[in-house]
Amino acid sequence: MQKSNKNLLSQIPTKWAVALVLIAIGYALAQPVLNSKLGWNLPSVANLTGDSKGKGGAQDKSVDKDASTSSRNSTSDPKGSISKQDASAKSESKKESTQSDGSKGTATSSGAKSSKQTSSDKQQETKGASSNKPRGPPTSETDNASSSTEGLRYGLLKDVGGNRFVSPGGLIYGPGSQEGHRLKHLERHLDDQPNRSGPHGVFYGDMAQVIRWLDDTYERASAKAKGTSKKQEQDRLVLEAPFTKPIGYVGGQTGKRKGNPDAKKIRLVVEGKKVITAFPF
Amino acid sequence: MNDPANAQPTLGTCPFCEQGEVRVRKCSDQCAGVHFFALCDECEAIWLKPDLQAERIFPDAENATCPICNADLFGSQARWATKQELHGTSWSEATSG
Repeated sequence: MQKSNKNLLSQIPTKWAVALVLIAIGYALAQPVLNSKLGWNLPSVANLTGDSKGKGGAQDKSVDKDASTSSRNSTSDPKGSISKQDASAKSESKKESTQSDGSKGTATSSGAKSSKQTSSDKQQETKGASSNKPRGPPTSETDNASSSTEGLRYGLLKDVGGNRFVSPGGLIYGPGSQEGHRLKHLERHLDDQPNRSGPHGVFYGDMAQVIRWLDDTYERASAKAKGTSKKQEQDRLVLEAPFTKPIGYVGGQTGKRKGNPDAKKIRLVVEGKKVITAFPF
Repeated sequence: MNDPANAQPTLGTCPFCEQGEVRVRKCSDQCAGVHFFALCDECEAIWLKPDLQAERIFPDAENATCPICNADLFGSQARWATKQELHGTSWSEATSG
């Protein structure tokens, strides 16, 4: 084949041979540019001259690679969404494990302390993220929770509009308080305020756990269960319920003076089903 | 807070919720002028007199307003009164801190 090519070239006039060589050089330079810019699949000079056994194979492979790359690019959305799904699935399973850790009916002291650290960490995130929204409901922790359980705040509270959220037990957390929202006010009781004069009840656990405890307090105290109490004044109702294990501790200056004793009761102040405040004592 | 003049005096622990700190709220309004009342920072119980044994009232849970001028209870026109601001008023003797 190469021999017949040489014979053929020898029969062509010199000026034509020079022209052909120039064209070949021009084509060799333009071919990869045209292929990459215009998406063409022009064969290389080596392929045209029949020297394709080695390089041509590689070229074919590179074309395959390009094809596979472009096919990956063209299907990047489905792939991306899958990886996003994976990511969200991971984050969900992580959150679920966090929730299940904090979803015990009553807290043990050791368990409670570790869950308190978790809530403290979350609180720091919340504080940082919510600094721009002083009068709205909690944001970052809340948003994380809502994304994990299809719009349920803290995985429990149903958004009923008007910045109001309803717990599984029917308690309503809405706008109000100095913090702008009852949930924000409640979050103050996830951390101690050691400089605050008087007592400051601090819950163990996170908001989800606290919300469950408050539902439990409301249900038992409303039913006048053993050990509970109920005090009504005008529209306000103070409900108290005991717990078998510590659900928090007494902080503030009063708590500090007493060595931060465990709290095994919750006091819940409501107006109808609207939560005003709640704390352990 | 370290400056005694800027300290926010307290009337004591709220007798209703038994947790909140009752302090004096200073509110100002064009009609009512500067006025004071006591407010629990936990349950929002309100006293119009500097006496925690006196009758208390409760603002609306979601739209709490000043019991005197009806402005937003936590609006920019209101804040916790300082010791200096209470000097010479009936609230001064009832508070400590």
